Amino acid sequence: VTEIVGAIAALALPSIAAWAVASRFDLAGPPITVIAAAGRVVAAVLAGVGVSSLCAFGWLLAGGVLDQGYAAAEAVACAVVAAAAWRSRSRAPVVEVPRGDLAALLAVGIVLAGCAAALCIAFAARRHGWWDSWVIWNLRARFLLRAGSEWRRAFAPDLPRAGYPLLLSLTVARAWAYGGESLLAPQLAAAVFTLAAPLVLFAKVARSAGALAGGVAALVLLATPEWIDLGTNQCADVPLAAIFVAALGLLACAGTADGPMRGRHLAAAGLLLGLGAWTKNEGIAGCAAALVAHLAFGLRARGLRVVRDLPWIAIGAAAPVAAWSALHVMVVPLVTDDISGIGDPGALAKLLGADRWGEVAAGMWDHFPGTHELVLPGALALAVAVGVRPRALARSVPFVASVLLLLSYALAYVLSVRDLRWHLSTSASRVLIQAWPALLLGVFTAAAPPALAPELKPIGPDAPPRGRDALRE
Amino acid sequence: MVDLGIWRSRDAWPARRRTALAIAFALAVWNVVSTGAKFAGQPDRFDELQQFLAPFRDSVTLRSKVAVLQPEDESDVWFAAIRYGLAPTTVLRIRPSDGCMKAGWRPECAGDATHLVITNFRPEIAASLGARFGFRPLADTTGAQLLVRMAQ
Repeated sequence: VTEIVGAIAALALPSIAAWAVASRFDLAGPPITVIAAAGRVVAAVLAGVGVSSLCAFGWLLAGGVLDQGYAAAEAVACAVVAAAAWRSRSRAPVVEVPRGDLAALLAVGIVLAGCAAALCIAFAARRHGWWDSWVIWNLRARFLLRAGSEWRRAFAPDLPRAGYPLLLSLTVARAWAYGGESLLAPQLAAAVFTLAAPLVLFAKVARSAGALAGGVAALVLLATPEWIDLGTNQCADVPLAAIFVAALGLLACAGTADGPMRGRHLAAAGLLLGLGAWTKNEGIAGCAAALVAHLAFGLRARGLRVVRDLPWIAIGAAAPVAAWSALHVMVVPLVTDDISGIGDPGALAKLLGADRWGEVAAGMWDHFPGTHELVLPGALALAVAVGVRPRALARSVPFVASVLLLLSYALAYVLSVRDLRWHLSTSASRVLIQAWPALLLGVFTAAAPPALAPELKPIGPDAPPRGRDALRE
Repeated sequence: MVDLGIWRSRDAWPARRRTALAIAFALAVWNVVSTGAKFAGQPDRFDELQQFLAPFRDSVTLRSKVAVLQPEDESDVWFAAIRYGLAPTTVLRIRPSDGCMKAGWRPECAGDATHLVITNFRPEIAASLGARFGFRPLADTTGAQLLVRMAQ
C-alpha cells in the first residue's frame, strides 16, 4: 500500500501544484468545456512531473540524496505552492459539452479505460519494461536511488548511454523515494505518459476543429499498435511524444492568442519544449523544429513582432535548459553517437547519395507507426472525412514542426556511421513514435471548425446554385 | 448508384464526422483488445531472471565489482539482467571477443573484480572455472553462480 500511495503521490502532488500555478496565471482563460479542462490538466501533469524532476536534479547537485526526507520536503513544497497559487487563482468556468460532442467524449473515455486495462495486462508480462528500460532508464533510476550520495555512479562510462537526460529516470527515482522501490512506480509513470498524449491531442484538436475531429485524432493514436506497445516499454520515447504534442498544442494556442495570454502560452510551451530536451536528446531537435515553424509562420502573420515571442519561450525553457547544461557540464559529457556522422569524412557523399536517402525513406516508411496495420492510410482517410483543408495543413505549426522533426531524423539516419539497416531496424520505430501524436495534432487541427463546415446544398434539380454557379448568377 | 450528396451537406457534416469517429473508435477498440490479448498470460522471462538474482543481491555491496563471464554465443540479456539486478554495483563482463580466451579463459581479464558470475555451467564446473580466476563459490541460483575472490 505504501508503494502504491507513494507512487501516486509522487506523480499527483507536483501535478496538482502545476495545475494550481497554471490557474493562477489564468491559462484557463474564458469558459471552457470538460474536454479543454482535461487537456489543461494533462498539460499540468506533464509540466508538474517534469519540473519536479528538475528540482530533484538540483537537490542531487546540491549534495542531497533521494530518500524519504527529500520526498517529505518535496510534498510540503508542492502543497505550499498549490495552496498559494490556488488562493489567487482565476476562475475559468467549465461549461457543459454540447450534446453533439458527447459521443466523442464517451468514445475517447471508453477507449482510454480499455487502454489502461491493456497496459495493466501488458505490465504483468513486462514488469520491468523492455530492453532500453533495463539498460538505460530504469537502470539509471536504480543507481540514482540506491547509490545515495554516490549517485554519480549512474553516469559511469561503462554504462550504456550514460549521457542521456534524466526526466524519466528521476521521475521513477522520486516515486521510489516517496513509497519505496517497487515495479509499480515506473509502470505508473509509463501509463501516465501513454494516456496523456491522446487526451492532450483530443483537447487541442477539439479546441480548433471541434470535439468530433478531436475524438477522431485521439482514437487514431490509440488505434496505433506501436503506441501502446512502446508505452509498456517504460522507455523515454512515449514520454517525449506526449510532452512534444502538449508543447505544440500550447504553441498553437499562443498563435491565436493576444496580450498577456499569448506570453503565458508561449512560456508554458517553452517549458514543455525544454522538458522534451530534458527527456531525450531528440527533444532538442523537437525544440528547434517547433521554433522554426513558429517563427516562420509568425513572421508571415505578424512580421518582426514575432521576435517578441522569443523571450517568453526562453523564460519557460530556462530551467530545463539549465538542468540539461548542468548535467553535461558538471556530471557527464553529452552523448554524440547519433550525430557523430556529421563530422564523418564520408558525410557529403552520404548526403548526396540518392540511394542512401531512398534506403532511409524506405526504412522509415517500413517502421512508421501503424504502417503494417494500415493505421496510417486509415488516418489519412479519416482526416479527409473530418474535412482537413490542405491550405490549413500547410499553415499548421504542429504539422510543419513534426514534419521538420521527421526530416531531422531522416538526416541523422542518412549521416549515420553505423550499419544503416541495423540502425533503422533497432531504432526507427521508437524515434518515429516521438513525432506521431504531434503529426496527428498538425493534421487534425487543419480540419475545418464546425462553424466553417462546407455549406450544404442538396444535389438535384431544385438545388439552389452554389460556388461559381452562384457567382455567375 | 451511390448518392454522395451526404458528403456535401452541411447538415450531414456532423454525421460525416460521427461516421469517422465510429470508424476510429472501432479501430482503437480493436487495437486495445488485440494488445491486451497479445500480452495476456505471457510469462515475464526477465522478471524470472531478476527473481533468480535475489540471492546474489544480498552478497554484494556498493563497493563490489562484479565480473560476468560471458561466452560469446550467450545472449546479452543475462548480462543486462545481472547489471540491472545488482545496480548500483559495478558490473563488467569478460568475453572472448575482448581477448579473454586464448587457449582457455585468461584469469587476468577479471582485473580487480571482487566477484565473478558464471552462467549456464553446472556448479562444480563453475567452481573449477572460478578457481582458475582466483574465486571461490559464494552463492548460486538457477543457471548462475556467484563467486568471490579467494583472498576475501
